[in-house]
Amino acid sequence: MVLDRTLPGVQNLRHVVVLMMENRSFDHMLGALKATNPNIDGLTGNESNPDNTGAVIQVQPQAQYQSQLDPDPNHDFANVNLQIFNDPQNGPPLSATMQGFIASYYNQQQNTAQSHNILNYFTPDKLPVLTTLAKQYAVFNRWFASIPGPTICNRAFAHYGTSFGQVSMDVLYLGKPYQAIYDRMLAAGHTCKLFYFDEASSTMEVVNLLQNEPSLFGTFQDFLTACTQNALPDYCFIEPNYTDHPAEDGSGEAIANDQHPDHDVRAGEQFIATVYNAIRTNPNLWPNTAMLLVYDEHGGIFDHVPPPACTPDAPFTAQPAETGTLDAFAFDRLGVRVPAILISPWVAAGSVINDTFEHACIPATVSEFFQLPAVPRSAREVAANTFLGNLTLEVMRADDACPSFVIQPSS
Amino acid sequence: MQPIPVPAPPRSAYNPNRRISDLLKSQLKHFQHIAQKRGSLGIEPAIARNIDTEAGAAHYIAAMTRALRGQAPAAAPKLAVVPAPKAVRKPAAEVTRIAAAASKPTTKSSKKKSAIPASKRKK
Repeated sequence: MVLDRTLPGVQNLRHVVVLMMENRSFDHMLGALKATNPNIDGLTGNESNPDNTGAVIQVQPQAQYQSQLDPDPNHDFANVNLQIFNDPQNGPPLSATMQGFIASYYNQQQNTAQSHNILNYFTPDKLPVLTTLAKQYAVFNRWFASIPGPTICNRAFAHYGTSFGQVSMDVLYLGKPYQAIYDRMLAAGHTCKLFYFDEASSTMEVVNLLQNEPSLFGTFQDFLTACTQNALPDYCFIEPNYTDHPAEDGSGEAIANDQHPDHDVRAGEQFIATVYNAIRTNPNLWPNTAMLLVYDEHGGIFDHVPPPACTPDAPFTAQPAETGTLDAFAFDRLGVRVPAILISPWVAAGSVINDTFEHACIPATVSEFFQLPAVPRSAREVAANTFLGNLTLEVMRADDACPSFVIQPSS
Repeated sequence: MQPIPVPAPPRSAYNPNRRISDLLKSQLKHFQHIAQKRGSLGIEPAIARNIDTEAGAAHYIAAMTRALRGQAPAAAPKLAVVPAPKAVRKPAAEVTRIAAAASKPTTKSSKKKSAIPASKRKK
């Protein structure tokens, strides 16, 4: 879809902010919204997986904020194969039944009851921020992880539009043939930053961007300050806090807010709300900023939508030794579906986007909107859909028609 | 539209002694790769060894990040500034949350913050 630059929301747009959270599937976080909005491709309540005894276990609205997904569910390539195809060694032409999630989690501890937790989902009242944003702005029905695998290779797609053939956490991009979106932005005279939470949490882009281009980075405090001072870069990518650690100023505790199991999901809710509020409460930013909230991958947690095929990321192929399966992987199918929401006052409340997206759509969208000069880009990024055409309202929503959040202190 | 309250996690959710996840192991591995390639970068060996818990890993990651960015510790996110907790998991009023990040400015300078060794802060 070519961006319609006559849209008022696009004409007003100056900033794109991406917040990428960790390791939760669409159905786990947003699946319950189908009950109130049938256009959202969530859960009917009848979805199920077999367990190790052969019993058919249905999804349950019993997800907890913490302690239920400990140990962290496996989500390496082979285990995601098991989750999608119910077979750890073979993929297509097997059918993507989404029937192997309990089996994968059972393998970690051989605990039948524990393995059922992987099918639990949150009720909307437990996630007031995420579900409110999904209902009040545009929720993506078909945003998938870029790879059926773990975090770092998936995050790479958000930065580079590719993982350069990697399906694992070992992403050492030596001699990379494609520039990161940040390099492209800077080369074109635009401003951009990756904001990690603090030095103690840092970034998952260690070996590549932090090592070679440290000036690209800022802290979350820098982001908040930039919002306050109307100095927000044109493009911002925000990383959450990945660890529980003492606050760097010695003042107390910095709790992990990435929502990665087994971190408390409420801390992530507060973090999302803090990012949103920083934009929403500044009248100089709110009309001209689009925020994408998205998760990097599903973290081994159940989703019912089979991931589709996609444009192969030629020339890259991961060999069986790398996938841990009997198959090579040509990056020609997507990972499991994740929550994604487009937030802007130019988006109609209750919007549902049905086109297919993945993380390569992020650099593709940024490149398109900022009209960056043509440079070599990955096959996946070239083929990726872009999402700013969903700022479709002719008139910006009134201030009191957009939600706001009050962050409560710990009691 | 009425503002929507966003509850905080309980203080018991904070566990800096949690064993690190595979994700953090990979992040550490990447930092160690750089340290191996570039030399120690001035990181104390004890900090580089004590990385089995989230707080330990965070301490090492902070040191490496600062070294790579070639700068003094930057200002920490504006958490509510209260005295450091005496015990890691002890429920106490000094627990801070990102909840207050956007609303309560810190008053300490980053220089002052950096003067306090993290190993002393944690206790």
